[in-house]
Amino acid sequence: MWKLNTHRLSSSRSSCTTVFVLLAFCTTGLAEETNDETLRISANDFRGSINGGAVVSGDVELTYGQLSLQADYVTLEVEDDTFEGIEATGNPVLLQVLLDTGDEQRQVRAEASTVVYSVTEDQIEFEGNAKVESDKLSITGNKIRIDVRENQIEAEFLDSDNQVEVILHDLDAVKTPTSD
Amino acid sequence: MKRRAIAITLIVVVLAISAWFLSTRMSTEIETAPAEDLQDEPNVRIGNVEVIEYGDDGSVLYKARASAMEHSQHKDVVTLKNIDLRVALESGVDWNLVAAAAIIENVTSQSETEERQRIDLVGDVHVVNESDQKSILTMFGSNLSYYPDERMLESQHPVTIQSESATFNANSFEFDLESNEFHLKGSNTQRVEIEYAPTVVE
Repeated sequence: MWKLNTHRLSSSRSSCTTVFVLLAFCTTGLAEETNDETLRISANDFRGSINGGAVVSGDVELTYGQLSLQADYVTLEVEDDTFEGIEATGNPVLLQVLLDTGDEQRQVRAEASTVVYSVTEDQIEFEGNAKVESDKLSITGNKIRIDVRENQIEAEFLDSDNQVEVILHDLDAVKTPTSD
Repeated sequence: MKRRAIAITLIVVVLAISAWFLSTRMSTEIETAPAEDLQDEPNVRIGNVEVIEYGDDGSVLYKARASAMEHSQHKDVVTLKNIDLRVALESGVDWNLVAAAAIIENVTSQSETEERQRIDLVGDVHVVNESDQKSILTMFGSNLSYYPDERMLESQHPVTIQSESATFNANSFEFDLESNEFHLKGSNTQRVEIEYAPTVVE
């Protein structure tokens, strides 16, 4: 049985971390317009086990509900027929997700070398030249995490030479920014 | 007058010989066709059989139950109708392959490039868990083959695999019954397509 190799963001490291509570992503979850919980994958190659878990590779196109991504390599975490998440790598991984802000639905586009989507924790984590943008803001960093359940985006650069870059297209996008 | 009579006689003789030759050729062709049909007919047909195949080390490779077994001496193949092929695995968990028929070619009759023992399965193939008789996978496609020595189920042709929660389409596939791992391959014209409706943790 394989497991996702999820690297957790650590606040103890000497890194620049910025946390935003964003109206832009003030979500009640992934938009459920179609309520389609079917995972659809198109790829050149698939290796899997009846016991759970699989690796798909070669121009992978994946859709799951309101989330879609393109990657070179995707690992699916499935245990006892329970879908727990994915880890995608690519050059880069391209992701689009429609988030429900309550009043409206907002399209978020992102790219990174690695994307980890945890269904169980309702989080999407981007690592390696990560960029997340919507029509209201754009965030660039080494690691970016969208916590869908807590309505937060956390971004950091591991080296001090670089800083997280945030471009706001609309000041309403940020409710209470904090920085450490 | 005498010469004319000899000439007419010769022509008649030649025509008679030609007619006889043609008639024998036609009758030979007429008789040959049903003879070939007969060769396709099985020489032996036995109902309700159980076949046990042993490996080189004496272990059981598989046990197959079938409603009938036919052997054609002409093609040197054995056909097992309504086969339920139980695969004995080292893990102790046995799988059954259920199909409309299985064709087992005599190894010596197989082509030189095909050294592995092969069982060609006809029709849809159900992979059934021996313990609870539950169908785990159903494979729709043609040219599905089982290789007993490697415990591998393979097809080099487009196949659709249906499980309880997922559907897979691929250009070719391999399924290792020993490790429970399967490998689906796509091509330029037929990508691997998967639809999976999983249980989601709330």
